[in-house]
Amino acid sequence: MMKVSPLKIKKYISQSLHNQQLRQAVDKATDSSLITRQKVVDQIPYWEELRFKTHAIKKEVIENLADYLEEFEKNCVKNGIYVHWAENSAEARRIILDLAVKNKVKKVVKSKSLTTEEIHLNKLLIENGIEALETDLGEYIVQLNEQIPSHLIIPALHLSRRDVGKLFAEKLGVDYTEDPVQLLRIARAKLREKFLSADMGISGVNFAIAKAGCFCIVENEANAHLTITLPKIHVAVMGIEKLIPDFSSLPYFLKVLPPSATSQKSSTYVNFVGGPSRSKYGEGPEEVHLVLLDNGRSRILRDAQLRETLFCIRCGACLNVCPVYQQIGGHAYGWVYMGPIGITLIPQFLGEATGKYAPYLSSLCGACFNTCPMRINIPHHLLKLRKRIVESGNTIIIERLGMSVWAFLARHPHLYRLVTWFPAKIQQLFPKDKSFPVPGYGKERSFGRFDAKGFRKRYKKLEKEESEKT
Amino acid sequence: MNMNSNREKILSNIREALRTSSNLPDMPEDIDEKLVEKLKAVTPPDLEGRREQFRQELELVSGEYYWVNSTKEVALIISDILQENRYEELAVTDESLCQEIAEVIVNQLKEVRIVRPSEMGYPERKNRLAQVDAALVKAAFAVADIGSLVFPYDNTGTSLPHFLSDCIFVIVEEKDLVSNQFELFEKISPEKAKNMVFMTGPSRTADIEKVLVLGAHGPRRLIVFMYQSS
Repeated sequence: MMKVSPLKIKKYISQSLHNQQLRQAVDKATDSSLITRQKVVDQIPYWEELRFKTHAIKKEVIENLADYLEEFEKNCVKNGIYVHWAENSAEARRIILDLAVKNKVKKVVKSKSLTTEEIHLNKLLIENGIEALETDLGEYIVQLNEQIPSHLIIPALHLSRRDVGKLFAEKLGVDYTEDPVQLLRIARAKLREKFLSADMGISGVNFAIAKAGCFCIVENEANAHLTITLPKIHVAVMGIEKLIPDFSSLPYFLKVLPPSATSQKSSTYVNFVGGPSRSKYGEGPEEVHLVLLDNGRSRILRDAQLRETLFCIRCGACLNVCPVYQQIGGHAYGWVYMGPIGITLIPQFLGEATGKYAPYLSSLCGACFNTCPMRINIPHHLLKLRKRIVESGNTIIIERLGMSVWAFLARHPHLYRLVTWFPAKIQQLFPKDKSFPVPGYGKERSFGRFDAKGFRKRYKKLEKEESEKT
Repeated sequence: MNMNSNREKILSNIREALRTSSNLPDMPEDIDEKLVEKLKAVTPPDLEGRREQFRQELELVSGEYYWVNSTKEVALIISDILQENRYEELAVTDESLCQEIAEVIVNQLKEVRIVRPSEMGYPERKNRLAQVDAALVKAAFAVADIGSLVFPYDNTGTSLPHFLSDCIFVIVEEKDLVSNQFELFEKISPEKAKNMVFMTGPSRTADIEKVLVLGAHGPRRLIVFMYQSS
C-alpha cells in the first residue's frame, strides 16, 4: 500500500477534485446521511440536552483521567482482563505481536478499529506471517483494494458497486456481480469461514466503563460479536480517552452515537465485554487483553481547551456536514482521522511540521460544531491550531510577509482604502470574468474580482437610504 | 521499557498535563431537569403504550412482531416459518419457555431436529451452530423506545445461536419491557451487565453505495414474540 501523509494534502486535494466519480459518491453519501440524520434527530426532542450531558460527562472524566484509568484498570483485572499500557504506536504493536507469537497465532480477524489503523497494526502482523483480515464489510473492501478508508464510518464510500464487483471478481475469483445483496453474500460466506478458524480477534472500543471494568463495542453487521466470541484470544485496543464513569452514563452516549454515525436511533448490536468467558459459559474468549494507548493523547491534555478534541466518539457526523470534506473526500487528508475532527488531531498527534496544512482545510462555518454530538467547538480549536502553526514557523515566507503587510494596512485604514482602490481600478483592464494571477489560484479556482464600489461606499449608501426611509 | 514503567509514565504525563484547569464551558444548570421532562413527555405512561412503541420501533428496523399468550401459539408460528423456509434444525437455548416451545414444535414437525448449545463443548458448539439456520432464544429485557432486546450471558449461557443463525426467534416476557435504556440500567444488575449484548433488528450493512442490506454477518431475519405475562 502506498504511504500516505498529511504533508501531501495539496496533491491529494487536486487528485480528489479531478475525480468526478469520487466527488459524486461523496456528495451523494453525505447528502443522504444529513437528511436521514435530521429525520432521526427530529424524533428526539431532548437531543440538545443529550449533547450538553455527554459533553459534561466527558469533561468530568478527562479532567480526572488518571484516577478513572486506575479505577478502570483495577476493575478490569478483577474481571480477569489483562491490561497493557502502550505509550506509543510502536509499543502497542509490540504488545499485540508478542501476544500473537506467544500464542502461535496464524489468523487474526479484526472488527472496525480506527485505533488499530492509527498504530499501523495490520502491516506488522502481515510482515510476521500472520493473516490479519478486516471483517467490517467496508474495511474488508478497502483492504482487498489495498487502500485506506475514505470515511470514518463508511470506509468504502469512494467505491461504486461496479468497483466492488470488479474487485471481488478479481481478488476472490467469483463471478462478477454489482448487486449489493449478492456482494454481501459473497463477503459473508468468505468471512464466516475465517471467523470460525481464527486464532485471535482484535477490536477497538467505543466506550470503556470505569466502575464496571468492562468495555462495549457498537456495530451493525455482527462481525464485532463474532470477532470477540469465536477466537480463543481477544485483544481490544483503546485510546485512553474512551472512558466513561459508569453504566448510568452509557445511555446518553448510546443515544447520540447511532444518529450521528449512521442515522439510526440505535445501532443493531452493542457488545459488552467483561472478561474471558470460555470457562464460565463454554464459549467466548479464553483470554481478553486490553491495550490502553496514549500515543500523544496525554500531550493533547496539556492544553486547557484543546483537550476537548479528545471528547470525540468517532461518529463521523462532522465529515458529512463539512463543505470541505464534501468536495474532497477522506483520502485527501492523508491520515486515519479526517474531516473537521481530523484536522484538529493531525497537528496535535503528528506535530506542527507534518500537520501544517490540516487546520486550514476549513471555512470555519461552524457546521461541525452544530452537528457534533459531543459539542466539540472545532472552529475555535482550529483558530488556536493555526496560531500554533504560525508561531512554530511552519508557514512559507511569502505568506508571513503577506500577512504582515495586511496587518500593517489593517492598522492604518486610510492606507488600506488607498491600497485597495488601485487593484479595483486596474482590474477594469481585465476581461469581466478574469482576475489577478495570484499564486495558489489557477485552473481550479479564480481569485475573485475586487469590488470597485467597496464595502464602505455601499454601507454609506445603505445608511443614507435607511435614514431617508425613517 | 517494562509494562509498569509505561503505566507510571503515562499516568504521570496525564497528571502533569491536567495541572492546568480546563477552560471549557460548564453544563447549564437546567439541563438535567429539561432532559427528564422531555424524556417523560415521549414515554408512554402505560404498558400497552410501551408495547405498541416497541412494536413500531422493532418494525422500523425490519424486525417482525407477534403478541402472544401461549407457548402453543408461538410454536405454531415458528413451525410455519420453519416449514416455509425448509429449515430442518432449530437451535434452542436452555430457558424453560424456549424448551417448552421446542417440545411443541417437535411434536408438530417430526422432521425438525432441536440442537441444544449447552450440550456441546467448544469448538463443537461454534462449528455445529454455524450450520443451523434458525434459533429460538429468550431475551431478559426489551427496550420500548428503540425496539431493542437485551441478552445477559448469565441468563442465556450462550450468544452463538443469536448470531450464527440466518433466522432468529426471540421470546420476551411483557413484564420485562422497559421504557428506555436509562430504566434498563436501573433494573439490571451491574454484574450481569458486564457481559451481555443488545440486539436491535437483524444484522445489516450499507457499506456499498449506502444501499441497506440485511443479513451481514449475523441473522437476516429477527422475529420477536412478546409473551403476555399471566
